[in-house]
Amino acid sequence: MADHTTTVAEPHEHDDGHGHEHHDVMLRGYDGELHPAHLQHYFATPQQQFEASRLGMWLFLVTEILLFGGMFVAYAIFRAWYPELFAEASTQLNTLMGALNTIVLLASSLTVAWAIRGAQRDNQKVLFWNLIATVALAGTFMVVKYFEYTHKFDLGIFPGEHFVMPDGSTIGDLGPLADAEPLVLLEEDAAALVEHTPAQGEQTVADEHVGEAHGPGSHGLTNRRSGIFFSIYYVMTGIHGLHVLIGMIAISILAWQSRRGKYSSVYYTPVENVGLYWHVVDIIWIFLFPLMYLI
Amino acid sequence: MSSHDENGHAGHHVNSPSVLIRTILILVALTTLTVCLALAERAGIIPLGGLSVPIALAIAGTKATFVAMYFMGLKYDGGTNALAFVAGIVFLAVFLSFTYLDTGFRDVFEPGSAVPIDLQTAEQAELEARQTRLYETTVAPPLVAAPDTLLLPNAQTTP
Repeated sequence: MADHTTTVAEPHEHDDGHGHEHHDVMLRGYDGELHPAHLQHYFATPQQQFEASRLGMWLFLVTEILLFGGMFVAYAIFRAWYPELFAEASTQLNTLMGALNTIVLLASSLTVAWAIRGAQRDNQKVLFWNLIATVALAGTFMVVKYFEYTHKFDLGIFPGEHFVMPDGSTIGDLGPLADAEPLVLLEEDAAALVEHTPAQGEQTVADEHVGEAHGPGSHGLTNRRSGIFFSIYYVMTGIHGLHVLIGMIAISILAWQSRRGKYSSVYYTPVENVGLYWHVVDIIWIFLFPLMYLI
Repeated sequence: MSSHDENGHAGHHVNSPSVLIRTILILVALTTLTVCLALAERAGIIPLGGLSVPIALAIAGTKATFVAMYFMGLKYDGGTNALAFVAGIVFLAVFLSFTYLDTGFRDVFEPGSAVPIDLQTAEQAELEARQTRLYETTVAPPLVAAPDTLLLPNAQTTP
């Protein structure tokens, strides 16, 4: 019986007309034939293995789309219920920073596609430096996000009940009937209402904060449901940012591995799959940007 | 490219530089278009009104299609990957439309169920307050101040 762990004595050098050569480790299988070392025994050909792996990645990406899809549905429902809230609150988002982030992520998709091309053509320099460029562009995205978030924190824009209203109190401090307006106000009731208005929720206002240009609450949003929009904003961009960070780590690992010569036109499946993940992260931002910043 | 030789070089489609460059230029152009449309609408130059959301989503969808077809290789892959992707989008559309069928038509059969609970409570409190005030001003004084309890055993002296 052939010993299937024996490697060929001479590394198999060849030039397949691409003008470059690479050394493939070939093993002899149970059938007595030579095949590439990375080919698993349950696949007939390396091409089949590559395509199966890529389909598996596509199925995972479908689950990612459904993950963000759930959050997009939450956005859609709350927007349908409170359209004026969304119109008012989205003025707090800097359109140009969002557009810059969009261009940065599109460029990172280009560089990762170019890196895959480099792997396919056995160009280690193109592969490595495009992976580095992708990580750099992703880092730029996160830095811009950091500035956006800290600017909002300065204005007191926090998610949900921690949102600081212009008078300095948070939404969590507001009582249940604090801002409710009566539906039909008769004149004789107007005077009576002044006496009967329920006590406001606990006020933590320090008067010197009112009207301050950059203090908490100076965003000028008076809608007591503003916390809804910013909850959705922080969760969606936060989870997207987490995906960007995970992608940065994965691409850095790819770059390190490519330095050690692991990827070539024979085997570059991890580069292809991580590239697909990165493109989906980009696609999600392509939808997040107009929905949050533009409309 | 031949499909496969014994050294394992598979026949993968290699993106040509011109396709990649052309795709990124189209994507940047579409981004610029959507940003300019939004800024123009905010400034009041182009009144889009209710069309702004569908147009923005259409431009975003076009950009996503270009990324999927050319950068991700769906155009060259054979059908299975595209089928998985499109199926995911279809189920997302089912998710969104069925949820909207619920939340968008809440008050068709149950009036008032689409009003947020805090506004409902506020309305309720306001109505009760008004009733109390009206009651205090309109309650009739008793006809007999001190009724004869033998004659009228059920008479109430306090309103």
